[in-house]
Amino acid sequence: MSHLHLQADPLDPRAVEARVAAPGCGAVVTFIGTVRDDAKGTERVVALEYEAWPQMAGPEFDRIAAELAREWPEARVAAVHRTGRVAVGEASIVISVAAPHRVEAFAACRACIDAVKARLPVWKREIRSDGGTSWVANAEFAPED
Amino acid sequence: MNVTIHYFALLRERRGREVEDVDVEEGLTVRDLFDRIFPPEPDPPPPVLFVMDEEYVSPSTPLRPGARVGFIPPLGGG
Repeated sequence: MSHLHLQADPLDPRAVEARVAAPGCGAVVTFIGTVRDDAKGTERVVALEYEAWPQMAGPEFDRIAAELAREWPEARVAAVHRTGRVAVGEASIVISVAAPHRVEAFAACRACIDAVKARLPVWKREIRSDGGTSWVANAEFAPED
Repeated sequence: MNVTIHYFALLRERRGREVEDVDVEEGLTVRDLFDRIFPPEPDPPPPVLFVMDEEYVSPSTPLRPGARVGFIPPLGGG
Protein backbone atom coordinates (compact mmCIF):
# COMPACT_ATOMS: atom_id res chain seq x y z
CA MET A 1 0.00 0.00 0.00
CA SER A 2 1.22 3.47 -0.86
CA HIS A 3 2.40 5.90 1.80
CA LEU A 4 0.16 8.50 0.14
CA HIS A 5 -3.61 8.86 0.22
CA LEU A 6 -5.53 11.22 -2.04
CA GLN A 7 -8.95 12.27 -0.79
CA ALA A 8 -11.67 14.79 -1.56
CA ASP A 9 -12.81 15.02 2.07
CA PRO A 10 -11.24 17.27 4.74
CA LEU A 11 -7.97 15.97 6.18
CA ASP A 12 -7.46 14.61 9.68
CA PRO A 13 -3.85 15.16 10.83
CA ARG A 14 -4.30 12.84 13.83
CA ALA A 15 -5.18 9.98 11.50
CA VAL A 16 -1.96 10.52 9.49
CA GLU A 17 0.11 10.63 12.69
CA ALA A 18 -1.48 7.38 13.82
CA ARG A 19 -0.20 5.68 10.65
CA VAL A 20 3.46 6.49 11.45
CA ALA A 21 3.51 6.26 15.26
CA ALA A 22 5.58 3.36 16.60
CA PRO A 23 6.92 2.31 20.00
CA GLY A 24 10.52 3.02 18.97
CA CYS A 25 9.75 6.56 17.80
CA GLY A 26 10.20 9.41 20.25
CA ALA A 27 9.32 12.16 17.79
CA VAL A 28 6.47 12.80 15.38
CA VAL A 29 6.69 15.88 13.12
CA THR A 30 3.60 16.84 11.15
CA PHE A 31 3.53 19.41 8.36
CA ILE A 32 0.10 20.83 7.50
CA GLY A 33 -0.12 22.90 4.33
CA THR A 34 -3.13 25.20 4.38
CA VAL A 35 -4.80 27.35 1.73
CA ARG A 36 -4.06 31.01 2.30
CA ASP A 37 -5.96 34.14 1.39
CA ASP A 38 -3.44 35.34 -1.18
CA ALA A 39 -4.21 38.88 -2.33
CA LYS A 40 -3.58 39.60 -6.02
CA GLY A 41 -4.52 43.20 -6.69
CA THR A 42 -7.99 43.79 -5.29
CA GLU A 43 -9.17 40.18 -5.52
CA ARG A 44 -8.69 37.59 -2.79
CA VAL A 45 -8.18 33.88 -3.25
CA VAL A 46 -11.21 32.12 -1.80
CA ALA A 47 -10.21 28.54 -2.59
CA LEU A 48 -7.77 26.32 -4.45
CA GLU A 49 -8.88 23.48 -6.70
CA TYR A 50 -6.51 20.51 -6.76
CA GLU A 51 -6.20 17.95 -9.53
CA ALA A 52 -4.04 14.84 -9.18
CA TRP A 53 -2.87 12.02 -11.43
CA PRO A 54 -3.60 9.16 -9.04
CA GLN A 55 -1.94 6.44 -11.17
CA MET A 56 1.40 8.24 -10.79
CA ALA A 57 1.01 10.15 -7.51
CA GLY A 58 1.09 6.99 -5.39
CA PRO A 59 4.20 5.49 -7.05
CA GLU A 60 6.00 8.86 -7.09
CA PHE A 61 5.35 9.43 -3.39
CA ASP A 62 6.64 5.91 -2.70
CA ARG A 63 9.84 6.81 -4.59
CA ILE A 64 10.16 9.96 -2.45
CA ALA A 65 9.64 7.84 0.68
CA ALA A 66 12.31 5.38 -0.49
CA GLU A 67 14.78 8.25 -0.98
CA LEU A 68 14.01 9.54 2.52
CA ALA A 69 14.53 6.03 3.88
CA ARG A 70 18.04 5.92 2.41
CA GLU A 71 18.99 9.11 4.27
CA TRP A 72 16.93 8.53 7.42
CA PRO A 73 16.49 4.73 7.63
CA GLU A 74 14.48 4.83 10.85
CA ALA A 75 12.00 7.52 9.74
CA ARG A 76 8.42 6.47 9.00
CA VAL A 77 6.47 8.72 6.62
CA ALA A 78 2.84 9.05 5.57
CA ALA A 79 0.92 11.76 3.75
CA VAL A 80 -2.55 12.64 2.60
CA HIS A 81 -3.38 15.22 -0.08
CA ARG A 82 -6.73 16.84 -0.81
CA THR A 83 -8.24 16.84 -4.27
CA GLY A 84 -10.98 19.08 -5.59
CA ARG A 85 -11.94 22.42 -4.07
CA VAL A 86 -10.22 23.39 -0.79
CA ALA A 87 -11.35 26.58 0.96
CA VAL A 88 -9.05 29.17 2.55
CA GLY A 89 -7.93 27.95 5.97
CA GLU A 90 -8.41 24.26 5.17
CA ALA A 91 -5.51 21.83 4.88
CA SER A 92 -4.42 20.75 1.41
CA ILE A 93 -1.73 18.34 2.62
CA VAL A 94 -0.68 16.60 5.82
CA ILE A 95 2.73 14.90 6.08
CA SER A 96 3.70 13.05 9.24
CA VAL A 97 7.14 11.66 9.97
CA ALA A 98 7.95 9.57 13.01
CA ALA A 99 11.53 8.81 14.03
CA PRO A 100 13.46 7.79 17.13
CA HIS A 101 14.63 11.40 17.62
CA ARG A 102 13.42 14.87 16.64
CA VAL A 103 16.41 15.86 14.49
CA GLU A 104 15.75 13.23 11.83
CA ALA A 105 11.98 13.66 12.08
CA PHE A 106 12.21 17.40 11.32
CA ALA A 107 14.78 16.90 8.55
CA ALA A 108 12.88 14.11 6.82
CA CYS A 109 9.58 15.99 7.00
CA ARG A 110 11.19 19.09 5.46
CA ALA A 111 12.79 17.03 2.70
CA CYS A 112 9.46 15.32 2.05
CA ILE A 113 7.40 18.47 1.51
CA ASP A 114 10.15 19.96 -0.67
CA ALA A 115 10.13 16.85 -2.87
CA VAL A 116 6.33 16.79 -3.00
CA LYS A 117 6.24 20.36 -4.27
CA ALA A 118 8.81 19.61 -6.95
CA ARG A 119 7.63 16.18 -8.12
CA LEU A 120 4.19 14.99 -7.00
CA PRO A 121 1.82 15.05 -10.01
CA VAL A 122 -0.72 17.43 -8.51
CA TRP A 123 -1.89 20.76 -9.92
CA LYS A 124 -3.80 23.64 -8.42
CA ARG A 125 -5.99 26.42 -9.72
CA GLU A 126 -6.75 29.44 -7.57
CA ILE A 127 -10.31 30.67 -7.42
CA ARG A 128 -10.63 34.38 -6.67
CA SER A 129 -13.40 36.42 -5.09
CA ASP A 130 -14.44 37.81 -8.51
CA GLY A 131 -14.85 34.26 -9.85
CA GLY A 132 -11.64 34.38 -11.90
CA THR A 133 -9.33 31.37 -11.91
CA SER A 134 -5.74 30.64 -12.85
CA TRP A 135 -3.31 27.72 -12.58
CA VAL A 136 -0.58 28.31 -10.00
CA ALA A 137 2.93 26.85 -10.13
CA ASN A 138 5.16 25.87 -7.22
CA ALA A 139 8.53 27.64 -7.14
CA GLU A 140 10.11 24.19 -6.72
CA PHE A 141 8.97 23.04 -10.18
CA ALA A 142 12.17 23.05 -12.24
CA PRO A 143 12.45 21.15 -15.53
CA GLU A 144 16.06 20.54 -16.52
CA ASP A 145 15.82 22.22 -19.93
CA MET B 1 3.56 2.27 -33.03
CA ASN B 2 0.87 3.41 -30.64
CA VAL B 3 1.32 5.44 -27.45
CA THR B 4 -1.19 6.93 -25.04
CA ILE B 5 -0.80 10.55 -23.94
CA HIS B 6 -2.27 11.97 -20.73
CA TYR B 7 -2.87 15.71 -20.39
CA PHE B 8 -3.30 17.67 -17.16
CA ALA B 9 -4.25 21.13 -15.93
CA LEU B 10 -3.55 23.85 -18.48
CA LEU B 11 -2.28 21.39 -21.09
CA ARG B 12 -5.55 19.44 -20.80
CA GLU B 13 -7.47 22.66 -21.34
CA ARG B 14 -5.26 23.63 -24.24
CA ARG B 15 -5.53 20.24 -25.93
CA GLY B 16 -9.24 19.92 -25.13
CA ARG B 17 -8.96 16.32 -23.91
CA GLU B 18 -7.58 14.26 -21.04
CA VAL B 19 -6.12 11.37 -22.97
CA GLU B 20 -5.50 10.29 -26.54
CA ASP B 21 -3.87 7.48 -28.47
CA VAL B 22 -1.46 8.50 -31.20
CA ASP B 23 0.40 6.55 -33.84
CA VAL B 24 4.07 7.58 -34.09
CA GLU B 25 7.18 6.37 -35.85
CA GLU B 26 9.98 4.47 -34.09
CA GLY B 27 12.83 6.55 -32.64
CA LEU B 28 10.74 9.52 -31.60
CA THR B 29 11.62 10.92 -28.14
CA VAL B 30 9.11 12.14 -25.58
CA ARG B 31 10.34 15.69 -26.25
CA ASP B 32 9.82 15.22 -30.01
CA LEU B 33 6.25 14.10 -29.38
CA PHE B 34 5.58 17.06 -27.11
CA ASP B 35 6.97 19.54 -29.65
CA ARG B 36 4.81 17.97 -32.34
CA ILE B 37 1.63 18.42 -30.29
CA PHE B 38 2.54 21.75 -28.71
CA PRO B 39 4.78 23.55 -31.22
CA PRO B 40 6.99 26.28 -29.69
CA GLU B 41 5.54 28.78 -32.18
CA PRO B 42 3.38 30.81 -32.22
CA ASP B 43 2.03 30.08 -28.73
CA PRO B 44 4.84 28.63 -26.57
CA PRO B 45 3.73 25.92 -24.14
CA PRO B 46 4.72 26.03 -20.45
CA PRO B 47 7.85 24.21 -19.23
CA VAL B 48 7.12 20.51 -18.71
CA LEU B 49 8.49 17.36 -17.13
CA PHE B 50 8.14 14.09 -19.01
CA VAL B 51 6.67 10.85 -17.72
CA MET B 52 6.66 7.40 -19.27
CA ASP B 53 4.82 4.54 -17.58
CA GLU B 54 4.32 6.50 -14.34
CA GLU B 55 7.99 7.51 -13.94
CA TYR B 56 9.83 10.71 -14.78
CA VAL B 57 12.16 10.31 -17.74
CA SER B 58 14.63 12.60 -19.49
CA PRO B 59 13.35 14.56 -22.51
CA SER B 60 15.59 12.49 -24.82
CA THR B 61 14.01 9.15 -23.84
CA PRO B 62 12.78 7.24 -26.92
CA LEU B 63 9.10 6.29 -26.89
CA ARG B 64 8.29 2.61 -26.38
CA PRO B 65 5.42 0.85 -28.13
CA GLY B 66 2.34 1.02 -25.92
CA ALA B 67 3.90 3.60 -23.57
CA ARG B 68 1.74 5.70 -21.28
CA VAL B 69 3.14 9.20 -21.71
CA GLY B 70 2.43 12.13 -19.40
CA PHE B 71 3.31 15.75 -20.09
CA ILE B 72 3.61 17.42 -16.68
CA PRO B 73 2.97 21.17 -16.71
CA PRO B 74 4.02 23.34 -13.73
CA LEU B 75 3.08 21.51 -10.54
CA GLY B 76 1.05 22.89 -7.64
CA GLY B 77 0.92 20.12 -5.05
CA GLY B 78 1.53 20.55 -1.35
